Amino acid sequence: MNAPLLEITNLCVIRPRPSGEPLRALDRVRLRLERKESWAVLGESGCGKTTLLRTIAGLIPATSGSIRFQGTELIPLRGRALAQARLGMQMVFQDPDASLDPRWTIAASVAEPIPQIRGAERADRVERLLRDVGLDPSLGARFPHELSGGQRQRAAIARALAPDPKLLLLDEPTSALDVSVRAQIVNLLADLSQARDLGLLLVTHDLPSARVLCERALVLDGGRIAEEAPFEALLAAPQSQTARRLLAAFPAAPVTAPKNSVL
Amino acid sequence: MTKPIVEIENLCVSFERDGARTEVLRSVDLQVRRGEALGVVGESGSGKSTLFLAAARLLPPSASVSARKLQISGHDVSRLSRSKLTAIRGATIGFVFQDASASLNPYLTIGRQLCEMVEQHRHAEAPRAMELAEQELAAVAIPDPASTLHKYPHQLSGGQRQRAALAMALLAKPAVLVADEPTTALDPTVQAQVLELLGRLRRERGLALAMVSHDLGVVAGICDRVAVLYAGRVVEEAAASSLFSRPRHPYTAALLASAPRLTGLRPSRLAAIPGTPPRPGELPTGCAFAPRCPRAVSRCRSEVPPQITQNESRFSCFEPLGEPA
Amino acid sequence: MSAPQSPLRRGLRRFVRRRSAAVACTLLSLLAASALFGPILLGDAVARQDLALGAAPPSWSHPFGTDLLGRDAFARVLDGARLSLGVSAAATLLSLLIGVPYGALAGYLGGRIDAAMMRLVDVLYGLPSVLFVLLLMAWFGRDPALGLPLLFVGLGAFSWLTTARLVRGLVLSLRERDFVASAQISGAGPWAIVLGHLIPQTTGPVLALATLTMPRVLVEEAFLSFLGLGVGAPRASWGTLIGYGMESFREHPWLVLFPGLVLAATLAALYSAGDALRDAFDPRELAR
Repeated sequence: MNAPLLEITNLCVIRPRPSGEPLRALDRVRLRLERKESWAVLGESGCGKTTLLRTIAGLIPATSGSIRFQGTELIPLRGRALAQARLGMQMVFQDPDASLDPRWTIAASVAEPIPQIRGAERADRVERLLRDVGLDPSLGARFPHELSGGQRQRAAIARALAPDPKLLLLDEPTSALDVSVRAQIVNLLADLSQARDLGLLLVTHDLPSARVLCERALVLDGGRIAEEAPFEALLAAPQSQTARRLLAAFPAAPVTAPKNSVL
Repeated sequence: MTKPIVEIENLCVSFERDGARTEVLRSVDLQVRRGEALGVVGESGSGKSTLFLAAARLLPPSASVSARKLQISGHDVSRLSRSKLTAIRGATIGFVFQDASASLNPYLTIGRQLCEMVEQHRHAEAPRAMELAEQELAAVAIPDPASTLHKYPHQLSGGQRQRAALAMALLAKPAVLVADEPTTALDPTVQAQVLELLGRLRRERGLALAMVSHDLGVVAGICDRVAVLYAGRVVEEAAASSLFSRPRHPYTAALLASAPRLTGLRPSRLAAIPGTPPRPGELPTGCAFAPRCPRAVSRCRSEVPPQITQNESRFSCFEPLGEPA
Repeated sequence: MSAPQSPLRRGLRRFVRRRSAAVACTLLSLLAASALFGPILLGDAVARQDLALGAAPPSWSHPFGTDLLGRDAFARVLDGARLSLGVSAAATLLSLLIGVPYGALAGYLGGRIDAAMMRLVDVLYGLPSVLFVLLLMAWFGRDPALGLPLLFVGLGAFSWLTTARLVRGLVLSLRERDFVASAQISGAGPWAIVLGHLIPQTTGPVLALATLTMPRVLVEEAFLSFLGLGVGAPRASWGTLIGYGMESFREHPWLVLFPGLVLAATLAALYSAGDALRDAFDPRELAR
């Protein structure tokens, strides 16, 4: 039997509000992500895409529904059991400035998810991970503020890869980066997911990056699924209003390929 | 040619911190002409945001600014006294920033803040000021402007806040409006609406616009001319159409090539520029882009390329692309 | 680029660069050193009486003068530094040892546990600490041997409250940061997160608060001792010395003047060190 990598059914996250109706941040969301598959989660802000990612990661409690990861139901799990079950999924955040502890060296941050590995083996692992994400291992001794934004995001990716996850949750991993650096990170993620058989769940506004990384797209609106389709099909013929709006907003500009490219 | 509203010549800005000086802008020349929209494109650390703040003398005292010429609407900004400067600032140069809440006071209603602006710059009294404020809100396409006047900033959505901030800047009737990443914090759909609004206002009012952004795509839609900043220097400036179709500086070309598209076959990778932009204060000798440039020759690493002016455009590069036919 | 620099080292370096901080630190370390080693160098000068001499004004052999029993006031002030600085440093240390983990845990756990923990702090806050010390003294009697420990317990029991509040507030906002979420996802438990990620971030503000706690305790101790409720004879803290001197202030003003000046200088040094620390660890500065 081959359970899907991640299977979500009827997931609801309802938050009380001081006034008025409780907020349905996620409303009966379902998705089935197979091994090595990659999905983009699209939508306007407030549509629940970041909530979805954080709920899967266990950072926000689900109100009802089911999240099965590699065949294990996560929602009833607590404490150590939960930590154990979700080691196979790791998250990369939008702003590497905030997701790396400013007082820890890069090497210490990268090694945090693997406390069971010690001594020389630990140093080896960190060095290999840093190389895998295209960082010079000597940067391991540095602190986050001593790295550029792109380097920091690479370090955050190395850290996410440390426990050898099967699923990466990516929360707008390039939007805080310089334009000239974004493409590097997208390409790195593409290469890594190929080489390591990773499943991806990518939340983003950046349609072209999503197109490179993802086969399928999930469009959310007001906490509900507005559309789910193969990415190319969504581009070619969006079915929902939301998806059409998102596509119409891009590109804001008629930037076409220059005739004399350098790259 | 019309007379420029903003004239910047040889502007240098550096900051002092912990006893060390960091150059942020290095001999920048730039003009914004009447009715023209100039795009200023650069990444973090390029000095793009410092540029117009320096021109309006809004930088903190830790910044040292020098320029051969610094004029806005005919006023020599570098010679004006503080009080004189404050008096003319809103009416000559208006600002809209990425974070609209930075220019709106959270404790006052939108109407109150807009009226203050009217009273200060157009000397209109209460009922008339309120009327003008409402008109301006309607002009920036805020739905139901009359009731918005009585709202507080936090009661508006992000897009509406940005429109209100825009209305406030416009009420002073500035000769030039500086929009610094005005849409970066907004959703793509809202971003498109605000950009359209800026384009329309500019056409209707003949407003001079300086659009500062990290995103070529944002600038491309509404700007006539584009200046590309890299590590504190203008590396290329040209009419938007020619800059986008025939970039001369390799950095501009690389940015364009990596600007993603959604048409054509699905790519398996994006075209990427190697390396990272240099940090201010850690600049290489020679051309700052040389370490990342696929066309760099040894001279690029030792000498700063001089500025070459051709027709209406200019660039600084020893190995420019695509000679014009 | 030079060797990697941790935010702590960068903060400290910025701190040392400030001239006021350097002056304050020099003064404080001088005081601490003389409090530690002074009595050893002075030998029995503290206790030596010269009844024939009596209270004499400052001179070359007795720079701070002598008291009614002919004891050297300079030696007494140095010995007082030992007590005054010792009690306030110990109470400050106690405020850190209790306040920091207490506040961090309350802030991190949140919810009802946080509410209960902070309610206790609020209740203690409401009690006047001086009254508490008075009660302790009344309960245990004026045994000179108990004076010092009671003072320490009385002052220490309250000194940690502000620290706990500060740390809780900081942790409440810090725990929303992505690096905490990131640590949770990578399997770190609550203690690992509190000790490894949250408490270290509070170093700057907590150090700055400690430099405010210490002078506050110093003043409280001086006040209690001045009233005769603190350290008993034959030992004397600065407060005791000032209180004792007040009895004959008109005839022998130097007995009040010198301990008072030393106390004031210490307070000023502590406050200016605190100011500099706060600036040096300003998160806006560290972020750059």
